[in-house]
Amino acid sequence: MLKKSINILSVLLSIIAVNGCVETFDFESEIEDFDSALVIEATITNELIFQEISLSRTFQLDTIPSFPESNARVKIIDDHRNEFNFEENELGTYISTKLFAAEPNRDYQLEIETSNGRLYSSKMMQLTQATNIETLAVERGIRDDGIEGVSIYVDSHDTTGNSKYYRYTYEETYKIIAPSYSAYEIVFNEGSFVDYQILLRSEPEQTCYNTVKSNRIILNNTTNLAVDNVDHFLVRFIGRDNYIMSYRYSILVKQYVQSFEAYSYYSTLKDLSESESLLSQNQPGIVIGNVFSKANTNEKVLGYFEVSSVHKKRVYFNYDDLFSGEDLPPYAVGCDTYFAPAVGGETTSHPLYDHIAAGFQYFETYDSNFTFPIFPLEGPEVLITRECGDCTALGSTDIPEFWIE
Amino acid sequence: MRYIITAILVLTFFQSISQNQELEISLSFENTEIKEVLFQIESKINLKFYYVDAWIKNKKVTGSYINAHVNKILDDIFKDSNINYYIFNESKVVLTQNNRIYNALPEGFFGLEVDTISDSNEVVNKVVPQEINPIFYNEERTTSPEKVEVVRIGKEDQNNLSKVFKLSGVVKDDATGEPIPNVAIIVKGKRVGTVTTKEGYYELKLSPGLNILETSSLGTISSQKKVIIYNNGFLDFDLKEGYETLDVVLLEADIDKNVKETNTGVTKIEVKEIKNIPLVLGERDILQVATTLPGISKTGEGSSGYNVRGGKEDQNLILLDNGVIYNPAHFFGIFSALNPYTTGDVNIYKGNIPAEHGGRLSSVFEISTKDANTENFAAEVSLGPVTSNITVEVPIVKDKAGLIVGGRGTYSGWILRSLDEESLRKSEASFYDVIAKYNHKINDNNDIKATAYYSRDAFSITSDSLYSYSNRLFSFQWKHKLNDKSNANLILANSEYKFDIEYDGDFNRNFDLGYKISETHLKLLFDYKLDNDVKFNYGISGKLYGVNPGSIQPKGSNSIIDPLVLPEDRGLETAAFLSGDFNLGDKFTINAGLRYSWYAFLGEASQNNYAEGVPKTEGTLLGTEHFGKNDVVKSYGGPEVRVSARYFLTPETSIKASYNSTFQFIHTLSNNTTVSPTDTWKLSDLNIKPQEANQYAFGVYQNLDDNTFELSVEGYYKTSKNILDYKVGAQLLLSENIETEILQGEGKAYGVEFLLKKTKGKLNGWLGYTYSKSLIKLDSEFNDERVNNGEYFASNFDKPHDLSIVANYKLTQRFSLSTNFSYQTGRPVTYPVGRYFFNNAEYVLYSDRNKFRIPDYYRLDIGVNIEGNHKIKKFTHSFWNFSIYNVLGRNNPYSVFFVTESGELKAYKSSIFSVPVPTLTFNFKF
Repeated sequence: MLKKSINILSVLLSIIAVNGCVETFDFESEIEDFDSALVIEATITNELIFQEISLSRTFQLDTIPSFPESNARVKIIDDHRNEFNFEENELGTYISTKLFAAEPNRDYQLEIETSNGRLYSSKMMQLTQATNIETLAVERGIRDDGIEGVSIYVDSHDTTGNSKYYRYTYEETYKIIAPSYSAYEIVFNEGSFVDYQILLRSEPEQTCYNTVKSNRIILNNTTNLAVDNVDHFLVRFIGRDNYIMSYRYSILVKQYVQSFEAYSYYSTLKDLSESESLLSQNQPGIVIGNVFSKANTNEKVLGYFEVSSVHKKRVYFNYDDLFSGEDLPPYAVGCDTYFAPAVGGETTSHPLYDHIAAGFQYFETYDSNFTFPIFPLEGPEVLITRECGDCTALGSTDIPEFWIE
Repeated sequence: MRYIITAILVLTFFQSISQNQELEISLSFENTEIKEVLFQIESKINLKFYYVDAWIKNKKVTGSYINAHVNKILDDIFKDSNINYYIFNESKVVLTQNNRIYNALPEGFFGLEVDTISDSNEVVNKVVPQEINPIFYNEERTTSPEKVEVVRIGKEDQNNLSKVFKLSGVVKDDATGEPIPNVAIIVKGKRVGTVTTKEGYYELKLSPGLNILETSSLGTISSQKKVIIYNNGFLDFDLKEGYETLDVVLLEADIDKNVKETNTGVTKIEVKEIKNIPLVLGERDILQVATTLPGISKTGEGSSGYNVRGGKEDQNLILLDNGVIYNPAHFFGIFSALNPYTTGDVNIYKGNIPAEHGGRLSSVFEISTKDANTENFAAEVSLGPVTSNITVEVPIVKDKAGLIVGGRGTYSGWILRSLDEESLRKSEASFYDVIAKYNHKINDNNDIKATAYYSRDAFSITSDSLYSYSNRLFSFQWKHKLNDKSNANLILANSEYKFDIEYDGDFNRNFDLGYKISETHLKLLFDYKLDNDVKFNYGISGKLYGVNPGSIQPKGSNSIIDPLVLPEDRGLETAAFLSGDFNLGDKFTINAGLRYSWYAFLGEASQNNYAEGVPKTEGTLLGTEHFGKNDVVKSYGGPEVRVSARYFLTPETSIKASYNSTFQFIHTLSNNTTVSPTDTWKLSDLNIKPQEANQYAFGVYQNLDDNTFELSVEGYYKTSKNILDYKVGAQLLLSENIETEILQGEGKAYGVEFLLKKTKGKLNGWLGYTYSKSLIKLDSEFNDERVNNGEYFASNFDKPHDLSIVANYKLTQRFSLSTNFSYQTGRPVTYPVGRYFFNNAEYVLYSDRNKFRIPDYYRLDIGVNIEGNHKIKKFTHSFWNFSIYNVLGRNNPYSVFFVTESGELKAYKSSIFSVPVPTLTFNFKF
């Protein structure tokens, strides 16, 4: 909150100074040499599951990102010399070969051998104390900055006072209903670009579900508080005009209790990646984690091996529960209609076919008796952008296993 | 005088009658006027005397001659006067005052011809005649309305070929006849000058011929006399009282300071000098001017700290009338917190710091407030676009005591309220400062001065937060003259700096956070002048610090913020010091000082003990030790050496060298690159060691063209240790275990500073260029305590090239144009060099720390100054200044930062003044 105020201050200052300004600039041209570094994502929890570890590499600023680290040998060793081996599942993603859960008062160490033969190992890590999410509350309200919406709050109480450092992730799942859905679709005759039929849809694509994982680092600590209570901590805020809560919305929040070191690591990473103010800035630098190269201790290794207790909770709400009788938020995209005749101005063109091929959906057919003026090159079929007529553009028609209506 | 000589020549040509006659006569006279004696001679032989009555009026002589040659008689008569005589055509005698009339032009008058040696080995034996320097003096017709008195000293003696004559005398008060001590008597255009003794006596060695003597001192009107020296002699000055000459004194007395000063790295800025420099938003800023001098820089516009010779912002001791100002900035450093209208001058020591000062590694800024006018009421008002300023000087006891009060405030609150932007309209940003100084000359032996100062900044941006910070300072100085040779000074000063953040937003997280530091300083300083060549300064100093490192209080009844008050830290910094100035001959002076500093961190306190040899973290904490009130928790100390020497290579060229060591027991904690108002100061304690530095400096100094130009080149090499830096992501505010966030590393800085200054003439100003490096090393066997693999890297304020040009051109008495230009290498920055995915989001991989640099900085400002007319009777005196800051509209990046926006990395540069900023200010005095 301090930071935010300073940010706004800087805006002020720039106005007072008549013309202070912030603008983008090109710096990439100055960077010439680039060494790729290994990035480790490894959070082992106290859940009995197939644990997952991801390995990737850093990439240059101007390249398209896809640099999984494949063919590495990954294992976790505990202080009783138990080994938990991992196998590559997808590119760069390694899954434990057996179910296991981290146990308290044990030391765990991550060991990696990459395909180029380099060895990496982590510091010994211990499982943090388990603290449960007590309630996950959904409330309609106005955020500090005056924006209306829905807030999802976590409450958690640790009577021992040892948890202190918390990290949250969430997965939100929401129902999408295509607003301009038609039960019909245009199907072109085999081999033709101009002859078509309007048929009932083969697949109902009106109602879908989409699941999105959080991509922000959400941290909280209770070190300033008299008691180790996470009290109404805001995990997720959905703006009033966000379409995702138009029908039914569900969020699964995971609360990881972190060690001080892990918290520091994430907190530094968060500080470095979020907006800074005009008059103060962080010292950027490489955030050193707890995994190091065995051969060259100066090698930059990114990421963190965390052994953390986790607790998760899910909550659902319907739009009507909070906004009964009110207008829905605007849909994800604007739903404009298009008229695309089967044959264009030039006989070689076939706009209707082209639009359908590009994903446009059938919406309706104009009635020729209708008084609407029809220009020679328009209609009679009225099309709509894909998202408005086909929900699979934004999600999947499969109902998630956990979903409760 | 020209007409006299002309007359003589006319006589010579037209009185061509040759008359041979016997020039021996008998004559007797007793206590007779010379005029009468001359009459007698005229009546006895055919001789006619030509002279001015006034020369010989009332002068009586006694003598008795029998058949004596008239020459002998005249010699005797004029023996004790400055009259010379010349007989020509054996019938005319011309008396002259001082001058001799030569009957032949001296050898070499048209240039000496040197005989060449012939090719043969025969040596032409030739007596080279003695060089005679006859004194010819033509009076220039000066246009000056005041008539400068011409005085002739001594009688020219053909046999005295001395090139130096002694002139001595007493300077007295015209009204009372009392001798005036400490009057500077300077020979215009020559490097000669002296100061009168307590008895008003002076002695000068002058070359023959015309010397223009100028007297100047506090409290007297400057006077000028044209003195034509023929021989040793006496000359008294009668001076009138007055107060107008202060500026002239300073300027003239320091004319050769550049070369004469013993210490290296001393800079003096006078308010007079900066009057014409273009302004930013109408504020005349003495510290801003300091940054145009070599070796002193700021991290950027909008940064409130100064980097002196590669030192951190916290390494400068900023003293206002002997009291420390912790944050000398308003508005994040865009303005300095010093009232420009009450400030007298600033001495900046960046090389050899005098032994009386200590506690900071890099520099001392000695800022003094003007003494109030003790004679008349005076006031000055300045109206600018952002602030207005009023200064009032009130005499309390005529000629003895006066009070100067200055106040300055913004109207930015009003600007904010008139903005359209909803979020800004509710906000607040304002500052003000007030200063009052009382000076009282109790008697000849006792002087007291007292200063009170307060400055405050407040800004509230959103409706939910209010930031404020303030400086408070009191200082008192009593100067007591012990005897003719020594003085004692008692200095007592107290300073307080605090900031406060009130947050009133989140429904249950409202708080009030505060920080405070205060210090009380007592210093006893003596000076002792053994003789003209040896002077000593010595004394003791004690400083008690009290720091409230932070407190947070819940605001409102439903706030769940846990009240936290970090316990007060207390420290005692003491020192004893002795320094001596030794003149070893005419050319060599040495200033040698030794300071012994002893610091103690005092209880009551709880201190953490950590395992040896491992990083200090919560994990390596062994336990907490408690200390009782006033227990010495930990002490540090050691000798600090301050030696500087100067040697004159020629009268206008000198070389200087110095060695300087310093300790610093108090440190700022800041994880910003630049100083921000929420930076806190931390005392050295059990776990945080004092910073230490050593500086070696060497320089060459030259004044050219009769002190019109000052040239200096100074190089330095500085090493330091225990310089504070922070682990990435350190939480500094309200940290209970601050030592776990801190790294202490080694620093290294070196550079060459070049300064060319033109002090006189219509065009004046300076050009400064510095090449410097400032490096730091953070090494440890532990990864998270090591930066850039433990090698030296450029510090945040390493700016190798720094060029400043300040020029002022006086078109007429009333109009002047001024400009300044500055160029600096962009400061180091850590760039993102790559990206990576982590937890579903993209992050940035940064380069080694400070591996890259932001674009270079350059800026040109211009200004026009128009003074109101100078009629003495006019009630007010006005002054307009119009200036344009950043004429080129250069978008100088102040900082560069990178933001991950919707998963995409963007680079931004921010600047504070990116287009030209015009400003008009109006000042008037009455």
